Amino acid sequence: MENYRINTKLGIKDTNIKVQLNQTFDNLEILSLKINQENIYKTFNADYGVLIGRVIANEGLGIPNAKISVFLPISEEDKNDDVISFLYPYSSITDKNENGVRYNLLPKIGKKILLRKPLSTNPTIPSVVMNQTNPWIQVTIGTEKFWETELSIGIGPETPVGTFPSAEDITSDSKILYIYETYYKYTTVTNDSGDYMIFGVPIGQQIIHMDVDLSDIGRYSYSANAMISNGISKTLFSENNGIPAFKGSNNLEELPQILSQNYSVNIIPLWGESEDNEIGITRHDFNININSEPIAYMAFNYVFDILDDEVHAGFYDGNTGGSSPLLWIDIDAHVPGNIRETRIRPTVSIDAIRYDETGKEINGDIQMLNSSEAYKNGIIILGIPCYSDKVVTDEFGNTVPSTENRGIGTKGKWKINIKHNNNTAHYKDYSLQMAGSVPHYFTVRRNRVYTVKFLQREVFQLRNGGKRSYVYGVPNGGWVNGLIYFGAGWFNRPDDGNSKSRPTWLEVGPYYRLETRVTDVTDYLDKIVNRTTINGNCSFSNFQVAELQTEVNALQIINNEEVASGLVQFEQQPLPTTTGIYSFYKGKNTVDCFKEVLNFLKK
Amino acid sequence: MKLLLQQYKSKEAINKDLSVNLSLSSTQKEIAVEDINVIIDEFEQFSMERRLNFKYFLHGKLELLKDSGYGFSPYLNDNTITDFTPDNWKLSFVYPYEYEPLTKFLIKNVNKNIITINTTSNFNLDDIILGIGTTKEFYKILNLTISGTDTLITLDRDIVNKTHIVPTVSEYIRKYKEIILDYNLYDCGLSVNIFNNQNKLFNINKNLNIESLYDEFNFPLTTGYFRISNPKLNISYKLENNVVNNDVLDKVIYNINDLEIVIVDTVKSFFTFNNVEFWFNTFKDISFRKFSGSLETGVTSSTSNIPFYSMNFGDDSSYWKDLLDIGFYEADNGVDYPYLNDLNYIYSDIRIIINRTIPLTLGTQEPIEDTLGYNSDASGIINKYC
Repeated sequence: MENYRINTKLGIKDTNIKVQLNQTFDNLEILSLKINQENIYKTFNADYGVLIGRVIANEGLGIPNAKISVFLPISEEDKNDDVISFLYPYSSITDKNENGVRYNLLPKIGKKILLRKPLSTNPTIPSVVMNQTNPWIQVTIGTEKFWETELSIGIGPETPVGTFPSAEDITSDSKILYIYETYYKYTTVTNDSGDYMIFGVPIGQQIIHMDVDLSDIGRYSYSANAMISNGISKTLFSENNGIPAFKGSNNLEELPQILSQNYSVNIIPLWGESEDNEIGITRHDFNININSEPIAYMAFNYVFDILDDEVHAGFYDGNTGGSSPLLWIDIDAHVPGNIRETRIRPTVSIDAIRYDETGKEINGDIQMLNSSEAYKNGIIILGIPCYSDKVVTDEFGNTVPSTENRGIGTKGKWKINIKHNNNTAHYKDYSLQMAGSVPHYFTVRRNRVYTVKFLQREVFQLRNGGKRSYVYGVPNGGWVNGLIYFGAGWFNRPDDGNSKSRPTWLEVGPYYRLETRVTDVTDYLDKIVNRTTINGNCSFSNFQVAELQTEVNALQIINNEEVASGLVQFEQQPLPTTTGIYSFYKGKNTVDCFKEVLNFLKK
Repeated sequence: MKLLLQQYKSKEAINKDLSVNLSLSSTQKEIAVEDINVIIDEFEQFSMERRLNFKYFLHGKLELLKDSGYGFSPYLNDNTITDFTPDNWKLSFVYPYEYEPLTKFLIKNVNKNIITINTTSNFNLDDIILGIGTTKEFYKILNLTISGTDTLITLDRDIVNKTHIVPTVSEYIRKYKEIILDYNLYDCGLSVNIFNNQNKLFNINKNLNIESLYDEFNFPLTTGYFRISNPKLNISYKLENNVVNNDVLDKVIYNINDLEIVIVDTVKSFFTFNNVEFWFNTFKDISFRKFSGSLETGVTSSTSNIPFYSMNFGDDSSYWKDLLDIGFYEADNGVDYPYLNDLNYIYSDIRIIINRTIPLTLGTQEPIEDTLGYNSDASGIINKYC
């Protein structure tokens, strides 16, 4: 088989790629697509063309899951059909529906949907269905009662803002099916390389539309946190219990996560007589600017004692002893712990410096993502922009390092100092850094969750009394009964009895890599955590056991891929039985703590 | 070289004019342009060639769309459905070939061109009716006489071997003939639909010739169909929810007076997967030509160029609809597609959309408090009832 490759320039807006088709080859390759020309080449003008291109961010990176369409105005005949003209009222690309939403290709459902079954036809609790994340509960809508649960379909935007029908709508409603086949017949979505192709587009001048939801672009998806961390005003986002979330609006133009473009493009015939006609493949790239850098997360806990008495402190796991649970987190499933009220969570500020490739300081800022309200457990979560080591998509669709500082960053070098705002001489500011690094900066990579490293995992006792502060991170090895636990490092005040042996900086510990999407892993965790909370004493069905087993296995694989002592650890034994799962999740305080972190991270 | 004449004095000079002095003149008239120039209208020639060509190269794109299932069981992920291979999904070409009227009246008595039927309605003077027996033929009603509960109908000619008649406007079941297509199926580059389902391209290896194909009324074939089937699914065929044989195309209303067909319903393919019933459209139409919307009439004996498919009755009148040329549009009525090298090229987008017999979405949608990231807009909420 003979292949021809057509070399193209990336980033060009509108051009036709002229090819002398002489039928001596089998495949035509351009960008990352192939068109088999066998038997399709003839010497007259085709009445259709092929539109291809790439959605490129920041002059280099191909954006997955961008939606592209050839806009088709509603026909005069369909304008007279009330239902069709209601569902598709667009005579021009700028028209809006009766809710004020313009023509768009954005899905009308997000990654989570509600499922309801009327009680009247389902008197007993329905059986578990696929993708169910919550147990069935009864709700009343108007006067009718329903069983309700939530399904996680795993794909889609965090906050759905569009009007494009789902596949379920299309296959369930004849009018929507008609609209899909009539007006949305030239729609597509970009692949992982950001490339798209629409085959069979009518030739001539056509309006091409593109929509991108930055919260739904595959592995490059942005969270509301990430955009806020890059300095986008918080007022452009909504907030749920102190946690930023993407806002929904009928005015898509005001949403920072939505990027759209329209172009008029001349579609030329795919094949035909080349002497008198322009034939070939029509190429149109969309260039978008994403002003936000991907972020890494730094999450840890910061509390300190206000007692002057000698106190027990340290990492209590129920196995190593201790008269009472002293720390806010309990890692023992059998001995739930409590937040010790004798510890307070100070207000802290973050002093951050970013470094360039050579280690030279440059301007930079890091914002604490959680609000003071969400900070009640002493949890600090930072969104750290990854501005360096930018990557782009090459002509073949591969993600490669940028040589011209284009594309999107993958790493960041930062020095972060934590300053508590208590005006007390006892307390000292701390910096986060990698062990032994000079200068004291550390490198983070996008979509990783970092925490501080556990310095000493043992029960210790302060001999001389006095105040101390603690920073909890991830234990550096060791865990108990398979519980997920998020940190137990400590740092004591430098003027206490142990200060000589304690460094004044906190080592950035192991990180946990989030695969593909920032929210995927947290969803898994959240699901498990929510199960614990919501199910209470309920036993799990066999289906749920199997589902949890799958999730646990998936996490273990990712976990092992990284470091042995990652953020999330699981029991290295077969998943407990139905009864075992219940006891497995009994550590409510642990769960509550994690729930806060995970709810935050998933936004 | 120079020729030296007398004015040059030299020993070797040639004192002679060697030029040929010729006078050009003509006594004949010029040749008339129109006698030797034949102006050929290229477009007319092209149109004529295309009009007389019945060979078609069929190619196009295949798209499969099914719902994601969400939490509903079953999720349509069986390979026999999702894998777009020639073994799973097959294309053939079919065209309407036979028809079966659904409303028929028994002929009680026949006397040459006069028939008696047991009804007093459904017929009017000058109506054209269909006589059914060993053959089917159209007749024109020249006279009507009511006699009690019977009607005596005088036709335009003798009626032979007919047992039933059918009124002017009547419903018909159309059956099809199938032509197996030899075609290739291959990936369409990175072309996917918006739900990320891979598109496929197809093209036939042997051109389709429709010159000898006629529809159920012996008119030139203007519309054919791709038939979509999946031999690995246990498919039943339904027309208006009634199970029919696998040679039924659709149900139409045929108005013989106006030579118009209105499709009432087309056969759909049903199959059951994990006790849930799904369906998809069995046929995708291909328009080769279009008839004009105007009904033409003419005196049979004195009108030239009456098409062979015209309706012709005893009163020496014929009526028909013209076939529109390819590329010619009568308002929105017409077709156009590439033609060259003695071949017509028709491109088709075929969408195989797997629908549920019982839709997922029932009832009305209601807004829900936005606490879990749902779209709080009423139009964006999914409330599923099942």
